Amino acid sequence: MGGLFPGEAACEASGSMPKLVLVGAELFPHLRDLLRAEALRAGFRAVEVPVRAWGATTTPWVEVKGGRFRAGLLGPEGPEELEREDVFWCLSEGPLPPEEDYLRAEREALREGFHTTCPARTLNRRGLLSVPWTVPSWRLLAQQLPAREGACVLAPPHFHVGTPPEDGRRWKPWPQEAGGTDARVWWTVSAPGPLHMAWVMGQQVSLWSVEDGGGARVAPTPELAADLARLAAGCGAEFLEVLLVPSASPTAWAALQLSFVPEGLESMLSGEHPALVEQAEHFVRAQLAGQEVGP
Amino acid sequence: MILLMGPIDELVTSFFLAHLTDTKSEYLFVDQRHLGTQVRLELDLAPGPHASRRLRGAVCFPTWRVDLEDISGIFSRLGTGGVREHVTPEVRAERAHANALMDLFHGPVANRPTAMVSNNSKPCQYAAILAAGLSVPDTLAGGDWRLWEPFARGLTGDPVIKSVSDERSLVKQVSWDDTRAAFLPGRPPPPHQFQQRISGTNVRVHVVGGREVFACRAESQALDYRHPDMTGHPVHLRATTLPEPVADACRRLSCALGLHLSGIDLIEPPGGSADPRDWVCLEVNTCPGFMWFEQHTGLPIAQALARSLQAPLAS
Amino acid sequence: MSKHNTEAGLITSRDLPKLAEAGQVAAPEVGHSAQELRQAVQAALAEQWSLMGILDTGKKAADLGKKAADALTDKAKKDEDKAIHDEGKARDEAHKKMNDDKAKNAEDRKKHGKEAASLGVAAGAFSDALRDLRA
Repeated sequence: MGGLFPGEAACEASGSMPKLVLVGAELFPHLRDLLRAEALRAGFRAVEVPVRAWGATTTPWVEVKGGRFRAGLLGPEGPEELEREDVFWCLSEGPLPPEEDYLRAEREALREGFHTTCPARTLNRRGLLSVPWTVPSWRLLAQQLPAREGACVLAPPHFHVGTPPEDGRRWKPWPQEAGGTDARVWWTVSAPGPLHMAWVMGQQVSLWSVEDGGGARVAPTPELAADLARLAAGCGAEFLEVLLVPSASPTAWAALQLSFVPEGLESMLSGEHPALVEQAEHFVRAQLAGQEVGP
Repeated sequence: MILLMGPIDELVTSFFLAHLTDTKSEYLFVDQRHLGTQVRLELDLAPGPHASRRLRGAVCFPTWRVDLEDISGIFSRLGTGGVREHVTPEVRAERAHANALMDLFHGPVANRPTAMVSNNSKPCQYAAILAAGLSVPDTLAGGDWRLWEPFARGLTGDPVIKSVSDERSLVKQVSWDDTRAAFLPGRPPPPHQFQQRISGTNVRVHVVGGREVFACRAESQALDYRHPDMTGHPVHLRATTLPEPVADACRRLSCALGLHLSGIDLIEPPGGSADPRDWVCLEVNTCPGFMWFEQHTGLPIAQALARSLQAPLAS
Repeated sequence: MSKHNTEAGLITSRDLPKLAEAGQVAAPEVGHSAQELRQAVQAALAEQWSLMGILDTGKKAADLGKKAADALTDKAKKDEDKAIHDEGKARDEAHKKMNDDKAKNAEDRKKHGKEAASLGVAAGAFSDALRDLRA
């Protein structure tokens, strides 16, 4: 049953096949190939909604009856329901097309409502009750870290809001590229080491040195892996990318940026990084099977 | 002291300020029009224990300042009253700083900006309402006739139609035939939310600090008692006491949404019930205009709010 | 509001022409201390209640000859809506920017293909900033 929605992958399908519904997968072509392959292997029908169609020509619907939610998508070919055995991942979500304020707010509210209530197993669930999608990223770092009580090794940068302090330290403005904010936010880290990127997928954590565009895998300490996993769990995220640097002492790390969209993963998948491909495959396979991804 | 922010002549802001003045409570007032012109906020978050325990900073006026350590709680009415302002980058920045302060502040805040957004989408709130043990009306949001017709068959009478978002819309009861006729054939219908009309008495519940519950009945024949003049139906407000399980459900709901002050719209079933599942929640107002309810019922909402914001901070 | 004032008269729909919008009373002078600010607040409140006709319920509003087209119930709801809507707008802006950036980054990457192989513009911005911090 191909072509239900624009851009839908042509896959074998039957009425009883569970669905893997992806929004915005066209922006992550390498990850999309991986997801399609895993869907085929697991007997899922891949349904793809381009980011531009989401909320515009393919719209969500939500029903609650007797306290039970149903939700689905309405595309050019008709309504499609997402059920508990289906898997949903909105990889990217763009702004809605311009129209009258009222209609725009209504469409936005419908999208948010769908994300919150969709009964399908959802990766990185969005919606107005999910912190990653309602809190600016610098504040999320400040609020979520340290991620656990006790001897944490992962901390946020030192943040200052307002005019930059004149305390002899170097302060950098929070980059707009890291998530727009109207606030005047300054940050600094003591003795920052080389830039690293961590991928948390379920409970599995991998750490890579990415200074100067490289990509060398390094083993995280158990404490760092635990902090990263707790950070993802605190944000309600199954998938999380963290940009981080060693700071001050050999065991201390500062997290600079959180991303719930697989931007970095897509970049790495385009290179030769079999260990990361394997981690991503393992993660997707477990999600489709409805299993926890162990450490 | 309590930090209160908002336009001084906005109804609830001035009502609460008057309460603080009359009760000789210590407060610091920041008029919305001064944020970014005469008032700046400085916040500092050094790495260390949880954000709420390491926030330092001050509310800075041109010649004086108040440290955040001296603030016990925050009440914000920023954005209310429709004040026309010249929004400069400085004003925008200070509004963002105020939002950051309210989200990161260690004491009680009515309400944190991130907690207020749930009201932007009613289906989002329904998830929280059901989890708290209350009911919601049978609802269909979005879709087209292929979904509306089977949904309509399950309803008693004509549906109520209302907005999905927080955008102001007049709640109406419509017939399916009229609804069908209103949409242009061949064009996708704009999103709407259809609901079962619920019979019973409107009850507005204000929950303060997740603990204190103030309920009043709004007796009116109007479909939406908050718009009685549009239908010519008067409304009578009187204080009431909720059955404890229902009050508990309201507390749970308010806490689940992270609200220090909430205005919960309930419908009590005809004949009453102590079971929260028999009570239908229409929405949770995250910036409730409690003044009107207090004035007409005598419920001490402002007093409870002030007390909760003055509570000594845990070290 | 004092007990005296409350007993003097509840706000009714007749007061609404005065209440429809904030901005009729000037923001109080901030002064040189919290005490001075509170005194200015008290003066502003007196002006506000006087304008609203609390002490002389409805009379001044009626004097204006404006039609009370709305009810306080409506006004209260409007206030709630307005505040939430404004917060919503603020949030929408942040949300939209975040997503725009992400969509754009992904599109850029697609355009440049494998050779770009960067981790996105945010990583680039932090990398530049770190160089400065280390210098």
